[in-house]
Amino acid sequence: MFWKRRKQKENAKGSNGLYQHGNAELIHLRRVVKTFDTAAGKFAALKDVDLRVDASEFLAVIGKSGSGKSTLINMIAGIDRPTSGEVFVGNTAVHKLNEGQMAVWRGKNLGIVFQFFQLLPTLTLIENVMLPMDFCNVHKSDERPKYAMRLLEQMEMADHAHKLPSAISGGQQQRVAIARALANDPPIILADEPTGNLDSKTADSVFELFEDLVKQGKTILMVTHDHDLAKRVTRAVQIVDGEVIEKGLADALPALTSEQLVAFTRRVDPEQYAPGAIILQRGAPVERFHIVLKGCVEIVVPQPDGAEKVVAMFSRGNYFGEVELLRGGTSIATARAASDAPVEVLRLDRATFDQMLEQSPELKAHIARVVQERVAENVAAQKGGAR
Amino acid sequence: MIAPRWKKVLRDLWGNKTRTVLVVLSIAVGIFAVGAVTHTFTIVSQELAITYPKANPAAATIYTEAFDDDLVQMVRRMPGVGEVEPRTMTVVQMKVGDEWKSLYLFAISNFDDIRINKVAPQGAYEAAPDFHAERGTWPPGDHAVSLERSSFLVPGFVPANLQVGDKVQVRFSTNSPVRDLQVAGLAHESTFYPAPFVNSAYGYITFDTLEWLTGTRRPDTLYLTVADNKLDKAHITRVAEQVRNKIESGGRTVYNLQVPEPAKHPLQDIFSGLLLLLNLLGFMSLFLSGFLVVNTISALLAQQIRQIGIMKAIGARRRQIVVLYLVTVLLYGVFALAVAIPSAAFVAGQLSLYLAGFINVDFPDFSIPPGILILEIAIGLLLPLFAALFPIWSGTRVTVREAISDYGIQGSKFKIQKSKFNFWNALRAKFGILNYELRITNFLSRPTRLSLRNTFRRKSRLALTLLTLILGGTIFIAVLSVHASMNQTLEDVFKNWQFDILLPFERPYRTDVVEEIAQQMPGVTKVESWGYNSARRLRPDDSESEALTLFAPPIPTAMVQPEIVEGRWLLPDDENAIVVSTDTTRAEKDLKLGDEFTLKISGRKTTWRIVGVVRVVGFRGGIGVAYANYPYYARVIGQVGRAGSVQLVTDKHDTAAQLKIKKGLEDRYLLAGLRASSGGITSGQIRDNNEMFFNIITALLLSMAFLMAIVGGLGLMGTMSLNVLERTREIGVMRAIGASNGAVRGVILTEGITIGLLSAAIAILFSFPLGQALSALVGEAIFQLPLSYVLSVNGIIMWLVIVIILSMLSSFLPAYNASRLTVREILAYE
Repeated sequence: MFWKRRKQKENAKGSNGLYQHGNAELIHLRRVVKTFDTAAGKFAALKDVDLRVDASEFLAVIGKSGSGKSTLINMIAGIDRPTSGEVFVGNTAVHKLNEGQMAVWRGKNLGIVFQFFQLLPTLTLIENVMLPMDFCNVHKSDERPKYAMRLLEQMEMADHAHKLPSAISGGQQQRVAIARALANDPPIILADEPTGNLDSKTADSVFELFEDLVKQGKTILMVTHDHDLAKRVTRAVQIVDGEVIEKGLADALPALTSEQLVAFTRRVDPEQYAPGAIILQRGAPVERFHIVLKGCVEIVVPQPDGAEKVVAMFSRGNYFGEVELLRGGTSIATARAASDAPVEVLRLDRATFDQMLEQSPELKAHIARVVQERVAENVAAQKGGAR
Repeated sequence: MIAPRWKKVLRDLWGNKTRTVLVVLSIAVGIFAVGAVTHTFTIVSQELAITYPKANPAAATIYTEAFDDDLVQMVRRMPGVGEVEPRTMTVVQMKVGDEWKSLYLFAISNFDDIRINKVAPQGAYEAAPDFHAERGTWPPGDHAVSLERSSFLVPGFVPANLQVGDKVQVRFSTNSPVRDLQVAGLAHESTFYPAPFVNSAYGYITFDTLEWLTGTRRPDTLYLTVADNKLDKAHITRVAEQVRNKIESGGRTVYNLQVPEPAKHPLQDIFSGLLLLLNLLGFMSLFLSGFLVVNTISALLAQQIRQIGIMKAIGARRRQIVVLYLVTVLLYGVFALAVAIPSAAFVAGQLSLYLAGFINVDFPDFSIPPGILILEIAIGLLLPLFAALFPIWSGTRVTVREAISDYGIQGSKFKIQKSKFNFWNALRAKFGILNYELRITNFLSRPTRLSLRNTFRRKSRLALTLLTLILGGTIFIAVLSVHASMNQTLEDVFKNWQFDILLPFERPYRTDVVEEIAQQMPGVTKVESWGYNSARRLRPDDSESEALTLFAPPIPTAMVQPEIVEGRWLLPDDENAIVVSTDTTRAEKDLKLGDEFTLKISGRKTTWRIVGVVRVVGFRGGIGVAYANYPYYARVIGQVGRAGSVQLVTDKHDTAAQLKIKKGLEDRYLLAGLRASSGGITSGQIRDNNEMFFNIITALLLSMAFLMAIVGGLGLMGTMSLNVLERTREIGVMRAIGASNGAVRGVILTEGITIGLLSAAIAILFSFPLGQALSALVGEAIFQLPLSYVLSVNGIIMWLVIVIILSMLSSFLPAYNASRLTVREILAYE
């Protein structure tokens, strides 16, 4: 179908592995500032925010009320425009679209799920799902009910298709809202506190729906208060007073202050590895500090008999590479993704790592201690292996 | 299959029936008002243009001394003359119950060959079904009369339960024998004033019957038409003047020559004026209706802002949403048309029937003319679209963020509010208003203060509501002020006539005899004899005007309290001074204060200088009335010591008593050999004649005012309900912090009443100039007279009451509903 081809083109990378505007990631916010004029004066909701989200990521945006997390989502959805900075989604410079272009682009590329469901009260559930197809002229009109019903089935809401929103529960309404968000098969789903108005059990089932969607290749950005849910996503960023902090960085290095976290978040580089992939080869020069976000990283040292021994397993919040960065030299062990699941890590280059230690004596002392322990463990492991 | 967005449109209409009904009615009121008035206007003008010429109305009427057929034949042979028809009009008395009432009788020479002012037999007549006109005979035989059908329009003109074939008792005068005149049936003449305007019944007889009743069988009125240029008034006047001169050269006195506007019904101007006024009010209600639509659509959009935001979020373009709401508005228009078209047609039919009765014509066809239908449809579809365009355009401008944050009232409007805030603060700081305001509001309870603040919180909404209500109130009060002004004018006019009876004579008699007989009449308290004559203006081009009724009272006179418009009243030693009426200056446009002009009185040419212009009501026809000083008048026309009329003040002032004394006095004069003319009139009759006419207009004006009250009420109800609906959350918060049901309702009621009273205050202010303009229009178009303008105090009080009741009603229901909601329900209200 024409619209599908066009959408693929809209969101396909070029031969250089970059999108049209030079962004390597599907979603890229570049130095985004948003200030509001209020009766009390200017209020900066977002302060020079940089954020990259890769395709198929499930990113949670967490933060306190008023921290700017909804504003951040609105920037990506084109619901709001940055005061300065740029927003790229795939091949589209969102900040440059006018209202009309924005509506069409949004209708076809984004599915939005709201906290209060926001189904139109006078339309039945299936009609609510068909409405985006109607506005964006997606599918032939006589085929729309079929597509809509399929989405409702996916959300286990097909039995209620012809009811009005008022006749079903909040959790059910949210499922229909998700079906509506998927109506035009958008690659990206933006969800603003989608579970904020649901009990924990219902919230859990809605969250599972999102996880399924990510598995199907959708990219999901979800604003949430819920730190437990945030742990289940591939990546989380925290918004503090309009600034983005990489949640993984904050969790792994609690000694850093908020200002330091904001500053270093700009310089981290998220990376994904397939199961079993080598992250760091023993003997290779080490130039990066790694923090594990998701999955399990095996630290492997070779045995004299040629076999390998897993000396440590690093999971979420653990880091590696600090030993070599501090003591110099090549990698003392191999780090690789465990074979059962992919791994996501945050990477910091040597200069950033050095700066971090320099700015935070507390962190420096802590890392020094960790290095001492790990070296000791390593030596012990190698000795054990020799024996 | 209908796309979901159109289903939304339909369900929104169906789902909120109250609002739909409100909007549909708002639009329907405008279509209805304009449709009904324009439709009536079309029916009346079209039918008058068709019906009236069919009866071949006289192009000119000449009133002269009795003549015979030779004169008719002679006139018929004159060049330029078309048809000639001789007639006689006489007034006899008919016994109705215990009273003797006037009956005008027209004698017609040949009923089978009526050439001018055609009279036709009338079959079954709706206004008098029990009379059984269908059984009547035509033409009326000897000693029989065919009554004009409009005689049945006012009860009491003819005996009760009168049926075809019945005999009525008539007499020519008190001393004449009483005769039994058979009622042969009904006749219809569409060229003469209908009976209600003549204020008595009238009918048609043969000249034989005329002789049997009055002793004379000769005609004294000549109707004529012209052979060609039938619509050229100047030509008709020339031909008619030639005829008049010919008659006068034969030694007969011509009393009057009337040349009406060719092919125009005598009442057409009045009805056109009336309909013009109605049209004006109709278009005002259309304007009001437009405001109402703007108001309701803005409110509708305010309510749907969140939905608009959601639709935008899921990919709807603004254009699509605009079209969505425009279609909604169009549907409102279609529903409104469905309501308005039939009701406007019905009312137009009824109104035309009502007017037709007064003009005494039949309107056979009430179908809606295509032009009216197109007008109504255009109004029904375009007015709401036009009115809703701005609210829809600005309502759909809301961004998704504004829409889903909180009804869009913060984001974009922050700047404006902030700047206003600063402006007010600056003003307060400068003039110390803050302290003053604090002192004032401290007197009020906190909930009342909250109500007041709520009222002024949403300024654009408030402005719209106020505008609608102000417009409604202004028109309501203005319309009632027109009514009050008409009544005031009537009062002023009767101050003008200080006499109860005016009795003109067929020729002048000695003043001392006239006054002596009158003074001996029981019930008469004051007597004054005047010069009284019919005069004609001799224009500089030697043409003559229509008749001017000239009064010559002794100065000072106790019988007239003149209402001077310009110049002054007569002085005892005035010589050729004359005071003319506004009717005169209107008819003879070149005459103005200070001018000298020539009057032909009893064949003598006399010169007069206008020293004053007065307003006179009660004497229609000709070119109005004028007053001259009796001694000078009597001298110039050679009637010193003689009186043309006598004016009397009686002890009782009701019409019945006046008529009784008038009749008695006429009889006494007749005994003494003095003949009173048929032109005698009492002040009661003048009042009755005018009041009836005023009442028609009053009825129409009041229905218009009622319509305005409905429209204004709809506006207030709509806005108040939506105001409350929009603040459901706020009400929840009030309840949550401990406001009682009564307190919640009180806050909302106070707000409604504040808006109502505020609008009424401004409406009163605006109604003054509007009422003045409307009064001027009514005076000019209908009465050909400037009205004495007064602001209707009753109108103001009525509007205040209406506004208070409506604002209480329209805010009570939503307030009651809101106060019944639980806090949880309200706070979950999305």
